Amino acid sequence: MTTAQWIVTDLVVALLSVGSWFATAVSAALRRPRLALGLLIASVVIAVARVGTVAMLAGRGWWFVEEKVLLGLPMLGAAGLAAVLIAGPRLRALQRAPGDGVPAGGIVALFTVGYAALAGLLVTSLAGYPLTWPTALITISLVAAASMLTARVVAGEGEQPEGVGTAPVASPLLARRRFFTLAGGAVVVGAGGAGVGLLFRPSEALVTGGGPGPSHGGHMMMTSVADLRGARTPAPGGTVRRHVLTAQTGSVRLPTGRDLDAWTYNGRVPGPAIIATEGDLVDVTLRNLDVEDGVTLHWHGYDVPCGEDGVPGLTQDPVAPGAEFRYRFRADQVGTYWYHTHQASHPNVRRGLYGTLVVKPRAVGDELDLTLPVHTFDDVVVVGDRDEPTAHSAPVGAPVRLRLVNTDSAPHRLALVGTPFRVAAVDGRDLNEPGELAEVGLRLAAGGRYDLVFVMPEHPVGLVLDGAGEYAVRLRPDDATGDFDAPDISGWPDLDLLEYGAPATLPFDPDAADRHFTMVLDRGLALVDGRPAYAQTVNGRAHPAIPDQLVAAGDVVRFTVVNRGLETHPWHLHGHPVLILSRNGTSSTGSPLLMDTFDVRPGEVWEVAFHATNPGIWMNHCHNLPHADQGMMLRLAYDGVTTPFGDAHSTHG
Amino acid sequence: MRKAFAGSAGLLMLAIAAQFFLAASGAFDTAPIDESFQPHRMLGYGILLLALLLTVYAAVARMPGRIIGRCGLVVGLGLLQPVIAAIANAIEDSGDGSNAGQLVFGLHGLNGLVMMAVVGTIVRAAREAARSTPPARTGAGSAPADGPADLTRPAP
Repeated sequence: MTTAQWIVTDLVVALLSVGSWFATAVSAALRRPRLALGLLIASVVIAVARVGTVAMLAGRGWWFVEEKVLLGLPMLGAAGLAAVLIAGPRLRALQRAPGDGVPAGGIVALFTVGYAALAGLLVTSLAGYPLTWPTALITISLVAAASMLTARVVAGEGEQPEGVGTAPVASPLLARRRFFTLAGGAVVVGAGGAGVGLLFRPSEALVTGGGPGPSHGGHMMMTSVADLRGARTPAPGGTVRRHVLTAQTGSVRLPTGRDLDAWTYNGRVPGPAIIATEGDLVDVTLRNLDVEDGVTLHWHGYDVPCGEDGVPGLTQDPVAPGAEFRYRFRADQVGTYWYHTHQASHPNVRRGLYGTLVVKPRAVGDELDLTLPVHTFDDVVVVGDRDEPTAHSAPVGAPVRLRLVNTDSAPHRLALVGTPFRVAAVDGRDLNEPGELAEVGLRLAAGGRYDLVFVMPEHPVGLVLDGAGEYAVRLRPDDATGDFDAPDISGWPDLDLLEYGAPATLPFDPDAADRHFTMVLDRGLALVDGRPAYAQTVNGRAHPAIPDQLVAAGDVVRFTVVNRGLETHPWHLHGHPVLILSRNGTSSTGSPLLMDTFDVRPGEVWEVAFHATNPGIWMNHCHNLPHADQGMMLRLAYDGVTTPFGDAHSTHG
Repeated sequence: MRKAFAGSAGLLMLAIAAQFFLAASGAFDTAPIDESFQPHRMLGYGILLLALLLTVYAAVARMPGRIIGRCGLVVGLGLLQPVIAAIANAIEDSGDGSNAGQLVFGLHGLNGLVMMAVVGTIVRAAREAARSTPPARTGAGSAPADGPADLTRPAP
């Protein structure tokens, strides 16, 4: 079973446990001893099963079980043992000789196990990893409070006939009850108060991943990201690729005649295709006509100097209506990339503020070279600039390159039908000796790119998108009219890029890492921009409360990225590609794989590394943009780099 | 105060009815799922909170055990709702091609109906409890207090 399946199984067993303990308590309270005893036995069996599911998950990594092992199961075990000892013998006795029912203490003990089981489940789903003292203390306090309230109700119901008149001080029962009330109250107030108090401890501002801390003192020259700008001239032999992009709101008419209420660069979706040749200077002036939120241009996957990265509040101020910003950088990096706004990127990228950036090598390229961004507007899928299937033609024998770009926030599954092909590049970077493929599904992460290459055969070729049952793009050999239907691709196996291509010398040694950061992705209660929310979290926190990751220029940095949740997180580090080392403990055996956006699916653990050679302060976030908006983003800062933009720690994704 | 409890239980009932409306209108929205169901999600948290407050209040006020228990049941069923949705989505995402995710999601609707039924019994019990409580402030023989629950009370 996969880790995700174990997560769900453990969740279901935990739910059964909650239901079973409460059912036991209720049936005991309703004086159904036979049913209660049966349920008690079932509850104990489920508790043992729970230990089993937690043990299985523990085998997949401590991140998946910490709060269960340290808090949930001990609480359940202690309360469960007490309940079995207090209520168990009584329930057995009642089978043989029906009597008054279970005494109040037994009923309260059974309810308390229910509360403990529920609390454990809530800690798993609302707090997650890592388990903190405030979480543990507040949980214990709440369980104790619920238990005391139950005791009050149960005792109240039991003794109503007695009422007034008895001498309260003399009764040993009342004395004992008073003791329990005081002790319970002390636990509730003490643990709860300490837990809430600890919540207000200031959090750490940065983590160093085992490397040296920030250098202070006068010798270190501080660099501002505003000074980390790109080249102003092309490389020898290159030209200047000048563009003006004007962000605007308005209606866009699609080829089928459908009108889209979109936000665009230059009134079209996607924005103008920026195409350069290796060594050219890309010189783009961004103007904002009327996008009230402000806009920027982020060059997704392109390792520009930090000052050109287009992150508002970090590398520049957002470009307000009427303002402009000029981006210049040298196109030294060949491949398929894209650009989009990073100001309120959710929902403004979805609304249409995106376009493609393709840098071609100086050598002669492929005969037919198509760039196909896939974008979803509400329920309309736009491939390239068209919302309907398109057809192209190429001479038989011509080399063809399809550049697929996923500009959505969810992954797409694609397949190329009708010809063997190769995945020549992933996220713009060429693979080493990619093998020929046929009848495979290609899962493309949000923000990711694949370059597919093949030689045009004598019959048509089609691209299928998400098992839509028809071709999104058809390629016909010149003069051919023949056609064929799209096959069902849902049964085709997915290509595993970690096993694709041939190994080669790595660009740096990932085993000699200077720093190592672990990011555990999940959902949970956290503050997002100061407001409590059911956030998308990294290590239990949400933006901007996630500590910055500190690196120094020249470091080799490793990330362990763990997905504890049930949603896919396309992880995206700005300014650097990461080298994929392993997934779920299985090392990459194929071509060296450099990606800027890799899908961490539920339950997966990825090891990646990068070489810190591009100084700046960089966003490091989930490229499911609603997730980033809900808190799943942080910053990676080079030692000695500062930013004059925005307030100290908050950046708008 | 028991009247306030009965009123709050009635409010909970209305909120759950509104949940069905929001779920249906969210399903026909063309915006992405995250946004379409935002109102449904927010009201869901509100319902959970209200049910929790009712439970604690009923326990503190020592109302009859079956009312406390049913309020607690609504809390429990309410907690199940996002869990069912998450599990259904997880099954859907795993993409095994079956419609198991859809079937699990159906439970979300059924569970909502059960919640509504339980709240219905709470409202009825709470109204009975409110009716049986002697008027707190008005003296004997004075005009009945306002509130629909009193209309059914026999005239003095």
